[in-house]
Amino acid sequence: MKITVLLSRGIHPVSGRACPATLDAQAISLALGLGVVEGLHAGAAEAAIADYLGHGLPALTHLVLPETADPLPALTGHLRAARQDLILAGRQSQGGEETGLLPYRLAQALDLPMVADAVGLAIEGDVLTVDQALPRGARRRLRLKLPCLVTVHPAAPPPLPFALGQRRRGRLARLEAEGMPVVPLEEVPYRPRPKLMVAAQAAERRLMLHPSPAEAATAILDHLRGLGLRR
Amino acid sequence: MTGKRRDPRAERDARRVAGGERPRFALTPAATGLRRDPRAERDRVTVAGERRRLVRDGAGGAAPAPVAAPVVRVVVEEPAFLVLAVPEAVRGALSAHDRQLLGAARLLAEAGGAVAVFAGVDGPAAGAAGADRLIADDLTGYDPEARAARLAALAAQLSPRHILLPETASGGDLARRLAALTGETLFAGAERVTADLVTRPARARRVEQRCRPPRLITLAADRVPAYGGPPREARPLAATLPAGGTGRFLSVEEIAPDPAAVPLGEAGFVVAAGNGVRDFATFRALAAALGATPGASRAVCDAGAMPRAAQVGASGTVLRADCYLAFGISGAPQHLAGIAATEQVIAVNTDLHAAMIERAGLAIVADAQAVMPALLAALKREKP
Repeated sequence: MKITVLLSRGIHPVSGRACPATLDAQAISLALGLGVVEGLHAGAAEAAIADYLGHGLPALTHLVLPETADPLPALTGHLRAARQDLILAGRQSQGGEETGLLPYRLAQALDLPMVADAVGLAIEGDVLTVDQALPRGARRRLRLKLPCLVTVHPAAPPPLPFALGQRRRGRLARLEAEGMPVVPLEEVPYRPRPKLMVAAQAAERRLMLHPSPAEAATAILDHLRGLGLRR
Repeated sequence: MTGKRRDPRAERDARRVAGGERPRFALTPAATGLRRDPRAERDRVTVAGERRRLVRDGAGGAAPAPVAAPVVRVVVEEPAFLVLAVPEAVRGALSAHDRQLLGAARLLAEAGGAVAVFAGVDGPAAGAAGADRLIADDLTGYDPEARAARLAALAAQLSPRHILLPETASGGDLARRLAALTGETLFAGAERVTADLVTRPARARRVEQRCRPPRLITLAADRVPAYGGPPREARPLAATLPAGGTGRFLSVEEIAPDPAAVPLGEAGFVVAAGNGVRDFATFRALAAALGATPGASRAVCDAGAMPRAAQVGASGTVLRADCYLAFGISGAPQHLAGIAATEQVIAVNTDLHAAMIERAGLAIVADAQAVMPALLAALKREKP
């Protein structure tokens, strides 16, 4: 089972420096038990990328591109040649356009099925079981045929801790690649704008003064039933 | 409400007597308006009924019969262009984010356009939220690829000027699938939408990208107000969409969340304990029986009776729950800040004048310690 984890350069939330992205490190820890794992990064040469090796990744390929190039053609070419069974990715890059579109365009280019927001993975033969995170803590279990591309949700298991020895033992291969130039949109410094206030008030109010406990319990259950929280 | 501000100069000018060399001012009661008419004043604040009532806020007098304003639906017959909004509409109900999406679509359609909604919602609800046209979405089950293919087919038929989706888990997924399928650019997570300009944050929120509204936009939550105007037509629109799924998935299984393990910020139904609760074993059993996520006030977490992760409020977790059941919580302002977005609040507290009782939709003035076992027993009777 050959697995590739797509790695992006993360931005540290406090210092703003380049660092491994948490979600990509979580993708590594999801992939590690399943087969032969390899990391793949396409972008400018940065020391922070090699730090992924410290999070348990045995080998990493770095396709070196100019700073603002679109990595899609380089990734597509590399992955089409590698014929991997499973490709894992984070949700979106950090520090760039941050549209989260790359995994979808990559799946389209490679003609692979794509599943978003995985929190757990299991492989049996050529069938992949994905636990997908839904809002409100719900999950959806999907089974599909490999190969496929899966993105990881922040509720996935936490990344393995960084170990310097592992980072030094890991193999890093650098390949020159061609990127496609991107035409950026007009950009101005970010100005935070207030969000809309979401203040909810109950439509009708009911007050019960010193009911017996049984009456209070019935009233609460009836109210919950009215809200659709109980059958 | 404050009264009308007096203008003494205008009052004096009204009393000026014309003619004469020197300015003269009339000081008769009729001219000065100083004489009061107490009967007329009383009539103005009297409400007729079985007993006469005096109402001081100006709503008195002969009460006019309430006239139901005729509901006038706004109709756009020949729209210059269409704006297609694709709300999530989980179980056929429009969420707050979905309404904001339709509000943004309305802004983009301002210059003679119409808002077309593609969702499985009923007409009146969509019309009230601002839909001029409604295309029924009857695809059931989870098949995002088939959904994206249907949306692409619909976009090819209607050729809308803009397509709007909410930037949520499923809405964002659908928008990106559509962008990948059709090769369009996606303006993801728009924070400001006007007819001429959309903006979105980028580069770790250091810059703001801006452009004229492109075709495919996803809208971030709580950025654009929902449509607040009169209801619109929501005329059904026929469209031929590709039927059937792609069959990519061998099986799809929905797993209900374990309420005790759901993070508090994500939970839909929270039961919380405050200082009025002493028996925490019963409280936990009750939370499990109700299928709710347990929470607590700061005082309880400080005392160590509940973990810090369960704390609700400004210094704990701010909830996005639909329903909140508070046992023995008086409702400090910091605690109420944590449940500001929660629509349904039920409070059980011994103090009639507690802020939580004031905030609750169902307020029960009773001892929480006595109500909890009764509620647990009632639940056991219901489902033995």
